[in-house]
Amino acid sequence: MKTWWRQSSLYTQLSIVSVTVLSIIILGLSYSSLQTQKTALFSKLQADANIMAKNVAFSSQYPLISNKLDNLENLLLSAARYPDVLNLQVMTPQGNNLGHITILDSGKIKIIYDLSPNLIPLKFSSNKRHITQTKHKLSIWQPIHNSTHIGWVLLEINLKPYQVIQKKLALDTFVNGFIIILLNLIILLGVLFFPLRQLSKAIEFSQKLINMPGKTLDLQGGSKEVNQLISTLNKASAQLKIQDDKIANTNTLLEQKIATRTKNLQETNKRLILLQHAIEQSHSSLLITDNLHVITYVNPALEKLSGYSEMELIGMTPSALKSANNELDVIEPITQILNDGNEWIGEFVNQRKDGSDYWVRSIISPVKNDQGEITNFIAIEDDISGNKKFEHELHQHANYDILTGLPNRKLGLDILQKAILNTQNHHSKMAILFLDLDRFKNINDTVGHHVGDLALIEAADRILGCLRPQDSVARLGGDEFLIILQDIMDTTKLDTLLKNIETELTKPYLLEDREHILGASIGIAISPDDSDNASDLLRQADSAMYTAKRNGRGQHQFYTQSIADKVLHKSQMTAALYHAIEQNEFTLLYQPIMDLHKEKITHCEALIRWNSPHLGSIGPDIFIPIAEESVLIIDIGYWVIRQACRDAKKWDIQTISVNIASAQLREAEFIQTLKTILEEEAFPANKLCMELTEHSLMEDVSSIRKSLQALVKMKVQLSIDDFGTGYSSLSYLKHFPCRFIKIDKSFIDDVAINREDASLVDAIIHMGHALSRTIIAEGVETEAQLNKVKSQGCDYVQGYFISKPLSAHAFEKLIHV
Amino acid sequence: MNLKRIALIASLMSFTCVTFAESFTWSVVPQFTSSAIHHDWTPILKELEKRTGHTFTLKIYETFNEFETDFLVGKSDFSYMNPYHILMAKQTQNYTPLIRDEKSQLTGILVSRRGSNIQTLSDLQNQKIAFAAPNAFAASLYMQALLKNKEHIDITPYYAGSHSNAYRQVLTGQTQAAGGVYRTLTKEPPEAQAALQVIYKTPSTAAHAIVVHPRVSAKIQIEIQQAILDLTQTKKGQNLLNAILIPKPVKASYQQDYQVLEQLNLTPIVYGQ
Repeated sequence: MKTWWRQSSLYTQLSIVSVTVLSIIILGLSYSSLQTQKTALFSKLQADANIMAKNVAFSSQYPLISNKLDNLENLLLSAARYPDVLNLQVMTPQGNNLGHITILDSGKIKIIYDLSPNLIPLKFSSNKRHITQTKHKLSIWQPIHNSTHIGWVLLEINLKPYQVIQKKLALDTFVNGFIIILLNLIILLGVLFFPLRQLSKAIEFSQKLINMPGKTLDLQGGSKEVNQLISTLNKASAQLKIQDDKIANTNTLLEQKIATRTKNLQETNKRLILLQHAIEQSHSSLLITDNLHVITYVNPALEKLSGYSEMELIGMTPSALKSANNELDVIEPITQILNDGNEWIGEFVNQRKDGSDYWVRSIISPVKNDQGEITNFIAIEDDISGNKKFEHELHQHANYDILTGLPNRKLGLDILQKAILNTQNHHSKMAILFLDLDRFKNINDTVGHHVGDLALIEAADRILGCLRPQDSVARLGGDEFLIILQDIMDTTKLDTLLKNIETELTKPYLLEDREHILGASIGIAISPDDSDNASDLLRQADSAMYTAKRNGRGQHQFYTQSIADKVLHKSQMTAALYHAIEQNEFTLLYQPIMDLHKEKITHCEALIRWNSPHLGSIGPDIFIPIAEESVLIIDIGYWVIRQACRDAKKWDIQTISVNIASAQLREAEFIQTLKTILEEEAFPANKLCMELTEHSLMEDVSSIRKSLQALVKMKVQLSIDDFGTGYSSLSYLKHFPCRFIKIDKSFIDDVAINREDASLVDAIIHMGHALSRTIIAEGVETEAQLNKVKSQGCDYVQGYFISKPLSAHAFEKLIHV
Repeated sequence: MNLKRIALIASLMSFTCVTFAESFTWSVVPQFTSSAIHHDWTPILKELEKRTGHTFTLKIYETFNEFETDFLVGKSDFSYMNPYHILMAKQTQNYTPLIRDEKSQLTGILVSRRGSNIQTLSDLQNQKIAFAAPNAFAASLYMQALLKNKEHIDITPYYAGSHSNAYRQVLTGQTQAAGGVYRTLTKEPPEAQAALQVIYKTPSTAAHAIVVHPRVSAKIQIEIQQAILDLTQTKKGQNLLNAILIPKPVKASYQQDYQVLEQLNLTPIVYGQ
């Protein structure tokens, strides 16, 4: 309903509204006026009738009184002529007619002479007029008085004419009303017809306007508003035309520009296509990334080389191609250089999709836009796997024995040189073994060189199998091998290794279904004991080997006797140690540890010394390893703890450090026994510090972890000794709950003069501080060293420059000064 | 009488001396209602005025009594009256009849209400009968004389004042019967006529006539007479004559027409009765 109204024309709306409103108003007014008229009419009618009745009554007086019935009749006849009189009677008070006039329907007047008396309603009093009304008749009973009641006038008025008039009035009124409404409507719509028609023409025009700019509507509006609308539309039309023309012009210009541009583009396109072909067909691999190093394009050559499809590579970074077998991390440095806007040229190893590696020589360049901003990186790579392979082979050929795969003489000597240097740096010992296979010539002579080769290969393998990671073996030539054993601190280790090698090599060789027995003659030189010169050592080892061969083959011979002696003495020493504890042959010395910030002695380290009556003064570096091979280390360890507690009980220091072997921590009773000792000696656990070497920690961490955790729980301090010499990973350090880190002497030695050592120390200090540990520098022997480590932020120093290890008495004196 | 004769001659003489426009009074017996009389007589008088050049003033009376009183003293110059009145007027003032209708005769009638129990004359014994006036000649005077003397019916008269009223007395039941004449009955509305029946009638006599007072000069008398007679010439004049119930006017003569009535010995009812 409501949408219909909103969409209907103005004309319709006006019509409907006008009709409705006018109808309501006019019909309403008509009705009310009609009612008023009706009432008025009837009132008048009644009033007139009353007056007439009264008049008749009045006029009848004389005829009645004088009994002039003819006059009465005349009177009635004339009164009856009044309109709408139906019946007029004058009668006696009793109701006897004295005159009776009736008007027939035809309008004819009839005189009635009827003697039958009228029934005067009983309730009529003779004092007043009585009016009764039926549907069509109004009856007025008017009494005739002349001081007394002398008669009645009965006047009956026909209401039909009145009703007819009424109806006619009503009809007229309503007809008038309708006419008024109609006229109004006609006038209204007439007036509006023209403007509205012009308006719809204008609307039509406006709709067509869009398609026919420039056309004007030449029309009179019929009203101000429509005129304005038409004139505006015409203006708009003109405007549209102008704009249309403008657009047409612009279009023409644009088309020209487009033609020119298209031509340019086509030329550019040709060039691009050419370039594209060049890239796609190039033999070099091409890779393009965006400025965030995300691959956006690879050429077919790269696809072929890498085994990946373009689809697989797009969206990845070039690091996805890198092989894990790169020696160095190549990604970080390259990225840095490139991001700085520089070119990088270099080689690295990539990995194919099938997992195989290949070497590439790569030129990676940044690509900049006109504003100088890097938008892309482009890498041109050439497969140099072939070259590399060749290089490798060359290298191999130059340095390795083809038969056994072991380093050849050249490389072997290189290794030896390096090993000597390393040993010097670490103040450790190394052994070189000159090994000659026994009865090798036999095989060659009897079964042939090819079996001999097989024997050599087998022997090489067996030797390798006996070595530790830090050891090396090279084939010097023929059946001679050079074995380099590094980090031989204790001769027992050497002993074990020698034994292993000899055992292995003496095992039968099954070569071409025949068993052969070989042996080995080994000459041993120790560095730095025997020499710190490579050629000297070789010579010494060689001569030792000849001695072994002279002595009957299948044995080894040391160049220096003292070592041998030492080896021989191992068992003697063990026995002596056994009694050392009960016979009080051990003493503890205390080396002060100074606080660099406070410049005060606040800690000390307990160091054991053995004065054997039989063997003399033996340093802990000799007897401790022997003790560690047996259970003696446990008891010695406990003795050290107990003695340290007793001595340090009264001292005003924060901690006293005691060296602990991993074997002690592995012992099941260790924690309980420690607790007992501390209780017995009434020594606070937090004043005790336990030093473990980095080496021992690395050896078997899991089994000693429990003990460490227990120690921590007890509030015993922990310290890592000789830090930097082991292979501990830094992440392990994070987990090891030590308070102190003792930088190994080897780093401190050259800290003041060697930049690398200084950097390393600096690094250790910073790292240690970062992990909230306290750093102690060991082996500080010069002022320069002290100042250096102090400047680097080291917390404590220990060494000969501060004090040599002191007796308990001396130490006590020192700190109480 | 001498005095009267002298007066008459004197007036006659005075009249004969002057014959240019004069005005005369003309009375009409109230046989009908005043309005009817006025209605009927005015046109003809006007016509006579036109024809003769004289002026006539119509005198109408409500009652017979008044009418008689006036003509008995000779108040009007001309008058239209019933035969008995003519006798009276002749005897007293010597009015002479001038014009009468040739044919019409007066017949008195007695009417009763149709359907009532008064059907014959004998039913009227001792009943009340309405008359217009005592001296309404045929209707009353002659009728009553006949009833009394000839028919030997005793009645109680009621004088209604006019024929119309007399009829209405019987019509409304006030009286049992009414005395009238045909000419008045026929003038009644049809309903009235339908409601009445004639139960007795008198022998016919000469009808009313226009009489003239002797003071009017003979010349004028003849002039007027002739003028009336001339009215028959035209249709309009005829109509006028019809209205006054003299459709065929002829010269009237006392001796020939009315003298005979003297023998009836009608006594006036109006006086002292």
